[in-house]
Amino acid sequence: MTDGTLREPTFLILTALADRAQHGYGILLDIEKISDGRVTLRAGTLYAALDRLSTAGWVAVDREEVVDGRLRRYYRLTDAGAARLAAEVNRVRAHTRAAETRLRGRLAGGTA
Amino acid sequence: MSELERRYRRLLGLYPRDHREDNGEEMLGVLLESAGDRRKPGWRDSADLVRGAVQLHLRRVVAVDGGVDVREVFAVVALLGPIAMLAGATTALHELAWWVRAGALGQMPWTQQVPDAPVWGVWAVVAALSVCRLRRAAAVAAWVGAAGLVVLAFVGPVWWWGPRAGWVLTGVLTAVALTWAAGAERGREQVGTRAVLVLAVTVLATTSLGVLGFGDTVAEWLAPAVAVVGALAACGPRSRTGRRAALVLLLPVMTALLATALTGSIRIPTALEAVVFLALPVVVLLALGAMPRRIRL
Repeated sequence: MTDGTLREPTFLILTALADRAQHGYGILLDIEKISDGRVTLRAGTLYAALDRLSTAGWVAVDREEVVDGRLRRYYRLTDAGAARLAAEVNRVRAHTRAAETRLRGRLAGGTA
Repeated sequence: MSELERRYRRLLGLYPRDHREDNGEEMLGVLLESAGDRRKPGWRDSADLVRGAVQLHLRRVVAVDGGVDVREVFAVVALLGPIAMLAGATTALHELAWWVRAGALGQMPWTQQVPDAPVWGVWAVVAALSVCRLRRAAAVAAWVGAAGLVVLAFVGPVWWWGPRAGWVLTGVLTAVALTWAAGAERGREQVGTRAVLVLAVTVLATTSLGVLGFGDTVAEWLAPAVAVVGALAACGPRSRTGRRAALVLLLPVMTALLATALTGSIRIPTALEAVVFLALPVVVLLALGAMPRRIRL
């Protein structure tokens, strides 16, 4: 069973693949961009995660290309992966909203 | 080949073979693209690759972070579990054979000598229904058989004995598999009809060893060895799903071996016996990914 909150690398990989298929190096660069340079994923972590996500059916191979004599495999988000990412976004959004509301209440009430 | 590529290849050599064959060249490409003008792998990259390799090995060996579809495991159990359960009748058959040889079958106190006979009769029905592909009827009968084993284990003091906990567990898991998993048909797609024959021959062999070789040390060790080889051969020793399905079928062997290992070394209070012999195999199944569990991705 795959449940609960997503780990950050998983969330970022799914996000990187949300709007287009990407190859491994592309995903690494995109994750740096998405996280404003805060998260730098490395190949070992990326491919261990892709292995898990493929098994879970959230990510699938889209196509393969050979560039400069090297294999480049593109990964895409599956419908199940997109649904899981959407659920995670809703979960985080609900928590963020609750946190914002309470912080606003704290400021309005002048609680020290 | 540059020094950098050679070193990365050496690190990638640490990965499981199937992953290396599928992703090795692709990973190498990513590593070389990320390396920029570096001539040797940085320590962070090296540590990350070693960690990734260890993770993937652990996934393959013990499914530490998932990677095994439990539904597939249970589909194989749905197909083969009812047949594997028939070996549980060995002790009852041995008793029966003894009374037949003594020419005193009519005087045999059935409820004392073979209190479990009706339960194995039910499991024979389960196996027959399962072979005839009557899944629902087989599932209902399996629950009756599993309930019978639970009653024998906890209500009938004559039958309960720690090593037999494996029969209770395999019985319950077979009933679960027949009721909720993808079903024996999916199991047949995975392991083929040949697996049913292999396991049937295995059950026949282990039962014969148990009945005819009772009291003989060689036969008593040969029976579990045959059971292990037969169950693995039937379920597919090369497949992660198959190995885990075999483990479910071999729970009776596991608990019997556990009892042998503990005998003489630890005295387990009777009250704890059920906990040890029922809980430990479940922990092993959970650890190896043969039972449903929550995994964080």
